[in-house]
Amino acid sequence: MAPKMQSRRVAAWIYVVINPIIDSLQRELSFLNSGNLTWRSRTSQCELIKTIQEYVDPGQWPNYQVFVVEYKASAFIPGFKNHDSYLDKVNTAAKEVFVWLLNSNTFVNMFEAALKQYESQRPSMGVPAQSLVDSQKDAREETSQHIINNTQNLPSHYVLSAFWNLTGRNFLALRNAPEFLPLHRSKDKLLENSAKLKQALEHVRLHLSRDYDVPAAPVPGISFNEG
Amino acid sequence: MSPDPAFSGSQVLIFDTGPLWELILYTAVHKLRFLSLTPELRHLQNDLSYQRLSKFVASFPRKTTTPHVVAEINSRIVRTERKGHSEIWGLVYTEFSSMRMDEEAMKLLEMPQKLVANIGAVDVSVLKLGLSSGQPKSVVLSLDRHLIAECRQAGVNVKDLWEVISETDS
Repeated sequence: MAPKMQSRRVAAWIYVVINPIIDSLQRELSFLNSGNLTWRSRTSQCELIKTIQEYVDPGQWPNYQVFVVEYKASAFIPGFKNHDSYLDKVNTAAKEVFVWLLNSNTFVNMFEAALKQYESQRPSMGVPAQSLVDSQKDAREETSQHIINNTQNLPSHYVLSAFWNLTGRNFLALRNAPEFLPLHRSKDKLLENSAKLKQALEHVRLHLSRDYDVPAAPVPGISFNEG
Repeated sequence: MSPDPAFSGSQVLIFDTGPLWELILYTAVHKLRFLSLTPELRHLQNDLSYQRLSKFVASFPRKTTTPHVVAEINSRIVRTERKGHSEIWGLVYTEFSSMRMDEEAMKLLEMPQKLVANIGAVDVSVLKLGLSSGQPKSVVLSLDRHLIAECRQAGVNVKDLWEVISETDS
């Protein structure tokens, strides 16, 4: 007869696998709902949206792997794979849009006009506004990144802040270009999948918690030593 | 925020670890929802404090620090939950690149041994940078009272983070 599944093992799954993934998906959903992909050109990846396994502490990957094996027939396991596959598509599509923007006459002309406007208004803006003339390439790349991430406002201490806060709204209109469609579609699929996945994991957690009498979060003073 | 006449015309802001860590933590907690880091955030307790610090930093065309400060940031990251390290480092990179942060190396053997023994190599690296970057064009930003005292004694412009975030808007 197979040994009874012990609550310690279930507690490990809840605390070091399920909870961190749910927390990360929650954060991911709030980013995706606002259109912020947290995509960075320096890595060509979403900085804060990661694969499911990366949401788990690397020291707990053995627990994650056992959890995936034990639940391989469950509906949410394909959701893990879909998540990572949609994320990969988002990263690829974001990179393609980034390259398109930097080579698009529409964007380049818009950027040059905005820079001209900014440089002429800079002295009278009433906020610290650095000249971007000598760092145009960096500013252009950063602007593209902010378009991709649907950035609304930048904090004052960012060098691009005054420029973006003055002109960003116009740049964001480029998100309606057909070249953005694959990115929007991949983002929407990721968003839909992540929302379902989070719900499914919350459901699993509830059942494990009930069936094995394990609290959904560690409680100081309560141990899981088997009798 | 009213401009501080003592620092008018200052060009270079030299970051000590404390204010830099606070900027990073504020973004992590309030903008990226890393709520588990909330207890680490000691000084920027509200958006007004953050805005004041952000505006103060923005008033300097150049920002710099030392690799010692980066190493101290590393040790603070190591203290946090391991699962978030990659995200926090991502934030550090974003803050550095968005501010166009510079870094200047200070060799240990070029630092006075007694002073290092007294206030530590990180503080001395910041102080030496303040001394070498052409006063009165540079300002050290810190919340470490020992470093602040040493800077004042050495004639280096220094600003306490508390002064920055408690100044009233004019």
